[in-house]
Amino acid sequence: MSARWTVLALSLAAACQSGEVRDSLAPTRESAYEVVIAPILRERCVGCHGSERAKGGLRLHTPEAIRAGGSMGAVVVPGNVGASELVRRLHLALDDDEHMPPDDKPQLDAAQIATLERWIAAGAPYEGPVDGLVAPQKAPAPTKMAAADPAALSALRNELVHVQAVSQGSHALWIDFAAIAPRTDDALVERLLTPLKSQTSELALARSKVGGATLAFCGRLPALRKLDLRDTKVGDAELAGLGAQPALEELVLARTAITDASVETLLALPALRSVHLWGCQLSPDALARLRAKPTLRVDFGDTPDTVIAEVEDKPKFTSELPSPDLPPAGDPSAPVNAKCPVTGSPINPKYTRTFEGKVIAFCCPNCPGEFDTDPAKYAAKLP
Amino acid sequence: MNPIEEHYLSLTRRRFFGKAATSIGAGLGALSLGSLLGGSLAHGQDNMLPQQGPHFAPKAKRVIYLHMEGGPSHLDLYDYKPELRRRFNQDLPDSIRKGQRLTTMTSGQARFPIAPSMFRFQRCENRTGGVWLSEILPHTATVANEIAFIHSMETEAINHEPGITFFQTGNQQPGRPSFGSWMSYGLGSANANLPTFAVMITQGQGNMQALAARFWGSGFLPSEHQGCKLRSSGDPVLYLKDPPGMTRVDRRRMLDLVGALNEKEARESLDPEIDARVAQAEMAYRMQMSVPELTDFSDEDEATLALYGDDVRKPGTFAANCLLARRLAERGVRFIQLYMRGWDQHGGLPAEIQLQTRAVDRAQAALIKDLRRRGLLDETLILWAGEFGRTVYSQGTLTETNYGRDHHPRAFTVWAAGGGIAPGISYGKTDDYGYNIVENPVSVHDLHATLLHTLGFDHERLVYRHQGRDYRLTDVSGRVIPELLA
Repeated sequence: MSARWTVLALSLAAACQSGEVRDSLAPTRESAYEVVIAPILRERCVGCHGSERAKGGLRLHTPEAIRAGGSMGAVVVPGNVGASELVRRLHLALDDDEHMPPDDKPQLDAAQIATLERWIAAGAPYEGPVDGLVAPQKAPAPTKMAAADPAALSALRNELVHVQAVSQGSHALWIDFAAIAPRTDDALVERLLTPLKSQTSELALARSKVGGATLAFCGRLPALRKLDLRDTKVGDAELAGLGAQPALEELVLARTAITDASVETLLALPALRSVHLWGCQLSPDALARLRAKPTLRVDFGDTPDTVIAEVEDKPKFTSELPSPDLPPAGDPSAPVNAKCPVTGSPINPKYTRTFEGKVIAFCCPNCPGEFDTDPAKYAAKLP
Repeated sequence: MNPIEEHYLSLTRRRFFGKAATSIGAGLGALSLGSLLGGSLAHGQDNMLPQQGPHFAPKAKRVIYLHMEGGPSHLDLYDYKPELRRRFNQDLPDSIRKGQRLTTMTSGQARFPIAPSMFRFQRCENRTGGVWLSEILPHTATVANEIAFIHSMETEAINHEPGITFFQTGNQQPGRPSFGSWMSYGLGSANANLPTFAVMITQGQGNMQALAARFWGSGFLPSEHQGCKLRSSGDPVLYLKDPPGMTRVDRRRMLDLVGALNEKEARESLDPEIDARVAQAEMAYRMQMSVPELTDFSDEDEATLALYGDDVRKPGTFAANCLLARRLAERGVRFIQLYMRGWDQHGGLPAEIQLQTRAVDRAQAALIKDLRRRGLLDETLILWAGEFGRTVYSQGTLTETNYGRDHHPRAFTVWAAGGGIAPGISYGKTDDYGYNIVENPVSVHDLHATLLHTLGFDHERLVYRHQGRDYRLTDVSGRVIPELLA
């Protein structure tokens, strides 16, 4: 095994390790560089700009190397996306000689570029989190999810149930019963989804008639990440059917019959990071117990209003500030007056007359002519 | 999609219909044609996932686009310029105007006197040091920490028609598909009983400009992607009700017969518009059941109605349309467009703009709160935008409490919230006059590219081939702005 592959293998091992840690820690505490940025660079850049090769004098495999830049100088300017050569190169047309990666190499996708930009905008930190940058979600089943059975998809569509791949090329499915919610019950859900058990990733059953059987069924869906049960009759006994479903991250239970008795059920869901409970019968105590779990975001419909930090006084209007177009005071071409001698309006430095050695400014193009009709009268109004 | 490939898919579809019409019997009340069209076949692919759909996992699944027709004054709502109070009635300096064009409504004015906003502003806390909002938006202030304010928006158009067309279609000239149509094409329907792209209009309080139906047209996309306008009085959708004496069974028979004839014609002519037509007829049949339930607010509790304000009980108001927007969102409608007319305040701005904000402020804040507590805000993208801003100088007479403002495309404020958008930030900056952008300009294409990103699309790959070239919503430009993403 070459040294290069050893490095790769080691870093992969490190990535896996941090992946395990990730599950038990709030994602926001991770180093964004370690879990998000470095993997992108490793995947797309380090082949030519790393420990083995340094094309253009540039290496991108460690924080020190990135800071050092290449023979052209810095490629990452913390806090300034526009000035960062790295980003500029990524955005050049593919056929541009300066475009990176070279056009025959795998390219970064838009999301990866956006991620790098976000990191640079945040000051390109090498430690600590960056808002909005989290490790790419581990596919619920990296063990090659099988494609869904076409007949099962047709069966869903024939019932007017929405089904769509979570993204292009993915076998994971988002399934939404919105169109037929009022007639959706346990039997229908189980009949339609049994053949799609391993692909169901996001499931929306809002406003439906589902109950305990469906929840128990959902507890056995290995890839189920998001479940929407808003406006259903689901209560504590039904919810308990989920058990310790391993993948569930988001759960919407707004306006259901959930009470304090479900706190343990919710805390037992290992991957759960967001739960909506507005309209449920929860005591302050139960809420506090849920909110004590740092990785769990609990929405009880009680989000406080934005704080008003400051209210300004009733404004006063003046024209005391000098126009940025005025020559500085003391300059011989600076007008002696701030108000038009004809109308009393603020002056516009564009319209002037020189009278008795003094520069006089007016408010509009009509006033100099008016001034000329009786200069002495108007000059008397000058300061 | 490649037209030749499309042609082959059409052939497959025809063949399938030929068999399906006879072999598939009693599904869903024997609606074989309708139920088939409700699914993948409308996209020409049997038993496969539609080819469209997000390129990558999206944050937002749907859009509520609040278009403020007329061009709301950023200076009186969102862009706080306290120094202007000390420049009252001064002339707009040449160094600020920089010779930029004005509309002919004010280009002949002898003076361009600075009109500071007469309204007090308040600083609402957010993640970027706070955002100053006008006192006439007290309810919006309560959700400021959910919103990303973009103070550095710019457009190329200086008049309403091209301005709205640009925001809606990415091009100033008519003829391109609307944003909502692109989303209908790209995302597909998530509720086969309702239109994918719904449009609602609220009449404003002052000067209103025409709203052409082409703003929600599908351009060269198949016509099933055009917006469906929901009316505020009478039937929400015209001609949806069966005429007196016609039963639902009669209607079904009629549709089956016309469907069979259409199918025959489609098989011979291969004209995709026939499919669109059949799909729409079937959709209308299902909407006969789904629309009355949608627009009936009797299942809303009093507290929810109160959140939106008293206007919510009057059909067609912005408040009623916001509540309807929430109901459409929770039923899976992908693109919900509200137009609020009447922001074109060339004169008498202080009085008129308050009538406008009274109509929208409480309702738009309620929409955010209502979506949030239902767990829908995370996956619903809200955009609030006019077609341009308004000038810092007064059009016509200026007093401390009365002034007008002309159209201003160089710099104005729009905001976004919800699915995939960074909450509680202010982005971009204008100069001390609110006239030019001094930091982080955002073009209409950039905005579109960024919004498409939250919906899971690479804006350069969401294309449709027409007249020999691939068209995009973002034309040949646009950049995703990472700072705006959650």
